[in-house]
Amino acid sequence: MTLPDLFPTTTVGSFPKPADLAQLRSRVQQGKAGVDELDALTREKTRELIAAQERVGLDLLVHGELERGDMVTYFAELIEGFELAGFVRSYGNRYYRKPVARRPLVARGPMTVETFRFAQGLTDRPVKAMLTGPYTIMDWSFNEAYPDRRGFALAVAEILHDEAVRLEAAGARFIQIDEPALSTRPEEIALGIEALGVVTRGLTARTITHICYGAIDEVYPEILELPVDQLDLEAKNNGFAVLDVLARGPVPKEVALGVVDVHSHRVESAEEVEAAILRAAEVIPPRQLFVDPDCGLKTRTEAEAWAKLEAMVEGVRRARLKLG
Amino acid sequence: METTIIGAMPKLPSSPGEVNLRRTIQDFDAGRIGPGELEAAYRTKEAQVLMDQVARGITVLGDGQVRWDDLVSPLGLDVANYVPGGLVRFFTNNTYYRRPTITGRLALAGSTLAARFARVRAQASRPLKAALPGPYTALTLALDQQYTSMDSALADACAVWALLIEAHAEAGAHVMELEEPALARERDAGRRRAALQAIGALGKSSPVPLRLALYFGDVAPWAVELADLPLHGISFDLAQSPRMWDVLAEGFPGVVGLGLVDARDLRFEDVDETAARVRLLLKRLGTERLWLHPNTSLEYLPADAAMAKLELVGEIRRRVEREVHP
Repeated sequence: MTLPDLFPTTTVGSFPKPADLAQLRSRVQQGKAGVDELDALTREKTRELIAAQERVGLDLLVHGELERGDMVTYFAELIEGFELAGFVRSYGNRYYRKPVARRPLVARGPMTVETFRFAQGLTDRPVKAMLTGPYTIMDWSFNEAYPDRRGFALAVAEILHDEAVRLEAAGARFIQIDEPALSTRPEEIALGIEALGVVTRGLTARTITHICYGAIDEVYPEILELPVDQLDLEAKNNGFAVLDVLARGPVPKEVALGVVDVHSHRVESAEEVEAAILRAAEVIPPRQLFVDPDCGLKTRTEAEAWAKLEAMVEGVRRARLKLG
Repeated sequence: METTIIGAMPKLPSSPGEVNLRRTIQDFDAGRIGPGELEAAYRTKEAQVLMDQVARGITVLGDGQVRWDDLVSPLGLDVANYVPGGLVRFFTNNTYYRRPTITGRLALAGSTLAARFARVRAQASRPLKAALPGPYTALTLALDQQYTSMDSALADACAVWALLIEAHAEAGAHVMELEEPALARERDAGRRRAALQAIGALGKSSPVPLRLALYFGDVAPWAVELADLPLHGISFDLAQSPRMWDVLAEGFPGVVGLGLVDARDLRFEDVDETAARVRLLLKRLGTERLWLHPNTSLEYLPADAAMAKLELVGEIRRRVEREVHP
């Protein structure tokens, strides 16, 4: 199945974890349930999630990242040389085990290929393969193995490149490499570009990077040099200020624009979404514009997430009628 | 030469037998314990945080912001129309804060933070420093639906901060510290000028010595703008701003805080090398004008590593003083 010509809809990656899955994960961590049981339930929920995305009318699907906790820790647990340090606070009474690179990193083998293959096998629509980017993995981990941040980031990038090649061989037509940390240190954007270039080197799949909650204006126009086909950008949360930045010059890449706020309980209306798309289409050539939420939906309840996506799809339908 | 902390301390236990605040809060949320037991755990942890610092040679203690979920949202307890909202990433960290919305003019609405500080102060065996987010960071991290300019927002914020500082002074603060990571990262000279003017005004009116903690940014390129501030002193993040070692060696007014232990890195600083750099500054600034501390909150480290880093601050101080006064 191919994507529509105008405003393909997608999501950034994560979905809220169903309560029974979250409870089982907790029981597995406490040693009260087995990993096989968790894997089975995760697959069942992924199947439901793929079907739900089809029902709501999304064009480019995701597997939902139900098997992942923290987006960096997940990969660190699969790469030799990383260990998990003690608990560090994420917010309030929530903690995560921050990775630490103790020794030079070595891939243990495929990390995400089976999950992708399973999800893609459930639908005729394209499913994005999802990786966390090398700069973000480096920036959000402790480093005891490399003399500098560049060496650390490039080592991670080589491992992710091998994984991206495997994903492509497994049929991935879209590979997304999330780099939320990239826009938080404008002084290191060149390193981010270099590391991402290692990951996407030689790929023929369409490549995407998701960036959020940083100072996009401080990494413009360098952000346009990121070696991917598509920039996936948070926009709604900041009143679409990113459009003012992109309006400074030509937009040479596809842009997936966040039109619903994943940090707000309020469900946007279809009219709001439509207006946002029409506004964006004045800055980004319409046939380069994808539409999605600002970021992963795991911060919302399931009801809020689906209500936002329904409004988004309806807003896109209306915008397509106007501009199609 | 004093030693201190910056902002928050880890909430998890660093050794067996200590109160586990995380588990206690989970028990409370699940209905397994009541408010009395929760409060008792908080108070035990507050006392533990003070003991942890004393045991590691810290001379100017901090309250460790034990009840704070993040740097700015507690302001919502005492500042009207500053309403914490959804979770947003906190600067360059994989941690979050509740992004406040400014829904109307800022005004003083309570004294909860000062009252909490007073209770911790009563348990402290050494001088206790109070710490709040600075007005510029509090405004920058918020979604502003009220003010039409940063100048007008800063004017109201500073009036409120003056009252917050006064309340903490009355609660027994030995010194007051404003944490300003947003200012440390500010590249716009005009916005910096407005922020520094506002903070300077607070310094002039403060009934207690007022300090500024600048972390997460490289302030060396514009450090000259800080030199005339009427403050007790400024604390610098020497991990993010290593050139400040050289800037300070040229001389700097006030009591200078050296954030010489990186609280976002598990690797340990070399005691000999760091002590040697401190000794160079001593010759220029004198022992009375140097404070040693981590570069930022110790919450970015696992609790055991945080305690080891704090120990390192004390060790560096002892090493320097042993060689200055053998």
